Amino acid sequence: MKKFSIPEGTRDLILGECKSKKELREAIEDVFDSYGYREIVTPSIEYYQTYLTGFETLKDEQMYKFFDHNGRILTLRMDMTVPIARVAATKFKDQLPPLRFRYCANVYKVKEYFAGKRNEVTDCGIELLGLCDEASDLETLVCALEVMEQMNQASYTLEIGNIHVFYSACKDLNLDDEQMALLADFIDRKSMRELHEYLETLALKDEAKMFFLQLPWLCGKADVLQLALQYCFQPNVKETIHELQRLHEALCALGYGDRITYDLGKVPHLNYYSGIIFEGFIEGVGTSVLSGGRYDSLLGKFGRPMPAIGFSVKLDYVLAALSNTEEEKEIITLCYPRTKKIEAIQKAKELRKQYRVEMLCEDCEDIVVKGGCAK
Amino acid sequence: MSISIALTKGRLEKETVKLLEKSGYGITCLKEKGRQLVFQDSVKDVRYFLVKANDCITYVQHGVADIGVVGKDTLLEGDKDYYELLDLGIGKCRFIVAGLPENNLFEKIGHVKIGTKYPNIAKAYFLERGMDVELIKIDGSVELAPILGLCDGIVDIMETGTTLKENGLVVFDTVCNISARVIVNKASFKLKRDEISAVLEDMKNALKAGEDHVESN
Repeated sequence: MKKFSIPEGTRDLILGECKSKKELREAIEDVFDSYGYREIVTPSIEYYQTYLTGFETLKDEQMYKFFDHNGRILTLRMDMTVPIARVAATKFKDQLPPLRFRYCANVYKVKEYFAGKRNEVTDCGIELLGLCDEASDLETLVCALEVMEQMNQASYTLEIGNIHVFYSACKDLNLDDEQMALLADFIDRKSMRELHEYLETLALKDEAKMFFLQLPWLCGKADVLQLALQYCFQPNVKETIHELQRLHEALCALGYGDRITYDLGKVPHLNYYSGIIFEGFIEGVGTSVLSGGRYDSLLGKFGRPMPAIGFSVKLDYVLAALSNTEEEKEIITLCYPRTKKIEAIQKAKELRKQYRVEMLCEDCEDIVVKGGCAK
Repeated sequence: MSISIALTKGRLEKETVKLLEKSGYGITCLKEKGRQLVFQDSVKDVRYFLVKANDCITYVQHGVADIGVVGKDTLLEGDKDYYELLDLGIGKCRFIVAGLPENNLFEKIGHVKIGTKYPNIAKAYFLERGMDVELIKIDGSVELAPILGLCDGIVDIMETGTTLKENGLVVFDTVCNISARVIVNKASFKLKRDEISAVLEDMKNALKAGEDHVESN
């Protein structure tokens, strides 16, 4: 006999799981909608070239690739930010900014085998294009916080960083790209031993070494921002931290103060980020469920230079933490003999105004309605 | 909030338990274990599980364990989606490149074959040196491979060097040094920051006390 299974890293959703996911999706989309974001649907496949344009260093092995009839390389989309940048630069090229788009789509990445990871996840998010002031950062963060609230979580944390803290310092010290990439990797993974050893090999002044060594530990409540100022040896870095402090004041005034933490050592691998970056965490999930940030140079690569900020929620990760035991609305069964099928269908139609009705043709005398026998 | 710590079974286990004891943790259960795999600390709100090195990373990445103690050798070979906050300096050894003295693979012209249990580490090492080599995964007694002519050299862990010597192999180069590291799940570090910092601090203090002790000797 033939045996069937699904490809590595994918999953079937059945019964209640579909319902939970749909409800979560709708709750989040309602928030996006209330902010005036308009929905966009793009193809599941994109040209490989499009992603190559979007990401300077593309992790080739993480993409599902195949060819079209002309021999061009196609990929399953790995995110929605790049396709939306493409759409904004083409379909919306004559529209004045700001543009607000939302999406909910499955995205694909090839992950390590047998590690229990997902290769297909549903990404639900927004992109705000054409605004670059502190106000648009704040608006987007508040939207993210509202979404986190919608996830029914008693305890959640939104963690904010700004990549300028790291990159301004590097620029000031004239570090080259390779040195920056290595440092960023060690700091982002808080790999303290390697960071320490690598800094020893660089000819940097002590205050700079101290700054990089402290970065991974500059995370937690807002007081780390004040602490960070002590280690700053460069005015641009200081200004970035002051910016974060102003942001924090605003978030406190809006009542989100105790939901916010900071991590100045957040230097992610996605190389299109260019300003604040943030991640949302909820209890019971071992990874971030929401992530986003500012990416002011991405749209320029598609020929329409425009600042942008956005974030998305990985719905499947959130679902793992939701214990949705809510019963489905009851299904009633209408049993009927073959001879009365017309009558039965008419009756079912009538009943469906109030109930969910399944029909069953069986050996019985007359039409019988059975409630609660649904499985 | 309660904390879960995944400890690596075997080579590292004894030294890790000793360190925890020195840090003031109630780990009698870990010292007198039978076939049990999950243990509750008798002093603090901490749960331990004993797992294989590779699984330690898996448990931490999924957030089932908040903290893991595992060798750098295992970390280098696997995924890196966690914070690596502390070097415990225990379980020290190193990755080396070795082979038969009469066949130095670094001087060989032509196709080079390397036998190893750690293909990712070996691949990264030779790539860094601009050498294009063929890797052959071997699961045990890697020293045997060059002797029998399966490959020109090996990349393996070396503690004392006795096994290599007894088999007539010599070390050509050190790939990197290895010791036990404390890894932390990223989300846990955000949500249980205080509890995790406390454990790290306790360990750091115990390590420092150990160093002072050595110095005063």
